[in-house]
Amino acid sequence: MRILGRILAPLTLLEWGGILTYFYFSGRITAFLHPMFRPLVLVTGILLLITAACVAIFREEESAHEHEHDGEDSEDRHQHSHSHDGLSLGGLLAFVILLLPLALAAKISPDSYGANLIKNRGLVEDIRSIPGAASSFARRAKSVESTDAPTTTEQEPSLTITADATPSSPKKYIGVPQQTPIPGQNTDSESALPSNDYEQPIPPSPSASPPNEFVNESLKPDKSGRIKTEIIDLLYAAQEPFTRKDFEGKDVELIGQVVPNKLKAGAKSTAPTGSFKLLRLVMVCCAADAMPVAVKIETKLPLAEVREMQWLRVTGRVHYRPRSKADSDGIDYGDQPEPVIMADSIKKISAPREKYLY
Amino acid sequence: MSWFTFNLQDFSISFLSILFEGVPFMFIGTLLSGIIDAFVPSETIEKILPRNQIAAIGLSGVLGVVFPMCECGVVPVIRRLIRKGLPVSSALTYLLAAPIVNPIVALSTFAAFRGQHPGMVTSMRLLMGFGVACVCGMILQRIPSGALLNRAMLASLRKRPTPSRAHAQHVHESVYAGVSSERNVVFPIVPAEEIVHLHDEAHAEKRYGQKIVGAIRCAAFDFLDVGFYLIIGAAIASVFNTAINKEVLLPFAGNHFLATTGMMVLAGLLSLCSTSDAFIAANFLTFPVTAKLAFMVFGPMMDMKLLFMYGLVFKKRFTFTFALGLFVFIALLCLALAPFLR
Repeated sequence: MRILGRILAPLTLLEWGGILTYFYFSGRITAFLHPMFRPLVLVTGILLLITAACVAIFREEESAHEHEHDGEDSEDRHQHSHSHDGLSLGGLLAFVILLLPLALAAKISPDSYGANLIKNRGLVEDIRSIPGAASSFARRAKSVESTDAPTTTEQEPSLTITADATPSSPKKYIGVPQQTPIPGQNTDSESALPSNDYEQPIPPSPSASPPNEFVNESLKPDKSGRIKTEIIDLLYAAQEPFTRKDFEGKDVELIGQVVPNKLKAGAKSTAPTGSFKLLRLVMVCCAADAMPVAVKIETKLPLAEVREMQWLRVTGRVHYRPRSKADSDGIDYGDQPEPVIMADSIKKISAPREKYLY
Repeated sequence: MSWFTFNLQDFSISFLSILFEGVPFMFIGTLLSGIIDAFVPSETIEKILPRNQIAAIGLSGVLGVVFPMCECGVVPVIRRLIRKGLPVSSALTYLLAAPIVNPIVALSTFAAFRGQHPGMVTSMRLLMGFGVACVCGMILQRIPSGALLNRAMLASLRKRPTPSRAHAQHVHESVYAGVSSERNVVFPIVPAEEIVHLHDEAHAEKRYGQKIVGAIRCAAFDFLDVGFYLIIGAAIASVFNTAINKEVLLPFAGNHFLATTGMMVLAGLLSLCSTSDAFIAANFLTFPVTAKLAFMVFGPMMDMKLLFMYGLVFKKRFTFTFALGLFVFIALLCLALAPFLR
């Protein structure tokens, strides 16, 4: 048992270090951790491997020299600290727990959550629920803002291509406001967006929609005239009048996983058949805190053979429309409208490398 | 829809991600523990710490600002520091406060509550974390450590060198309070082979290289000790993290008592890292702000993985009593604050 103990300690460290480094280099780590924490996994993995080697090599020296009570070596004492009855069986059990679950989990993990988890966590359709994530869009917008002054001349040509009619007017409005959104601002959104605004597909009067919205790089349409965007950006725009106007009536392209419109049992499915939700998981630290965010997609295209959680690339026109009270699940959305995408093309795709939004 | 639906694959993802998130920080903690063991002489802590116990506890409460630690890493460090003579009351105060009262958590809480009075929520969270930790420290100060620490800890304390024992007599109520005979506390007699990692005296004459090897070995065995409990905690947390339907909690929102206790139970079950739990708390839009505070103060102090990890330092009975007491204390505090925070 003593020999076993001596082997088990370095072996456990070896396994942990090995699995950490393997997950980093194989790229599987992307399914579990925020990019910020990934280097830590690599460093820890390598240090654990070194530690394992140290423990294996320097064993005898340590226990022979410094302890008057060297009747037992560290491994055995270690086991005792787990099982205070002094049973080596308990120590063995401790190592089984240290060794097995990690290896098994690493083996069976599919590296992407299933529909069951989405049902349990519930879909988030209000950006205020994940203000910390505060939209990759806002971040990108900020970086554009900060580089705005020196690069004005470079940006000007692209602006004239993308801006609707009026060529250059002072950059009064930028896609995203500088102050952080607060729920109280919903009173502003009321005045900026009358409740039936969604019925007008084109952004209304020129006075209400300033022409230089595309100062924001992320809102620039690609060659096919679509804005590549993320679900979280559309939700972010829902509570921000200026950004919302940037999206309203525009063609967008986004990816996500499909889930049925109604997740709640008991709720009657009044939604039209060509309607579903597209979700992405937003991660703050690790997959344990991932939250599903979703937007509604409506389409006339057939969707028969798509199973739940299938990755899709959806293109279509964005409209913001008032939320119905029945859909709100008791959450007070205020006057915040919900984005709905009228899809004109839906393509099945394989899962992207980065499955999460951060 | 049932409130509990388990799926092994979802479980494995959550389990691995909690481990990947926690292991690096735990490893930093064990490395630190090994370094303290090898390079910090026992007397140092008694020299640095204020003589006044209340001042010592207060200092431990804000030490997290300078030495930020998350809850996975703090346990091995605390275990080592107690062995080096840090009074249990100060140790527990640091243990409870460090994962909350630190700059990283303050920033993440502020970010998470953008749009929901971030300044107020962040300052309340830090203040409450500090306050609760200090009160717990002061209560513990009155209990002899023989009733608090587990056998391995007591045994290693008993073996500490004599000079600091003499010193302890005029430091009123130090760790020795429970061990010294004048308190008449009986603690179990532990066979010599159960004494864990006791290197103090011999280290004085050791060569530098040996010290490093000693530190690494010490860190390695600490890592295995704590890792064992992290695995069990992460597994239990992941079951609840993936299998509980969040909707079962939503009806609680209207009732302050149910919302607060419900959120605290959730914090205990989910076992999130204190740097990210604010984002989960902020997600509960319909819940009163005091319930979210309860979630964010209780969670870093006591959850599934910590319940097991605390067992490395404290007696089992004390750990459970303490968990219960902490729950009641924080719940009452938040309910009392509820009328003032809207």
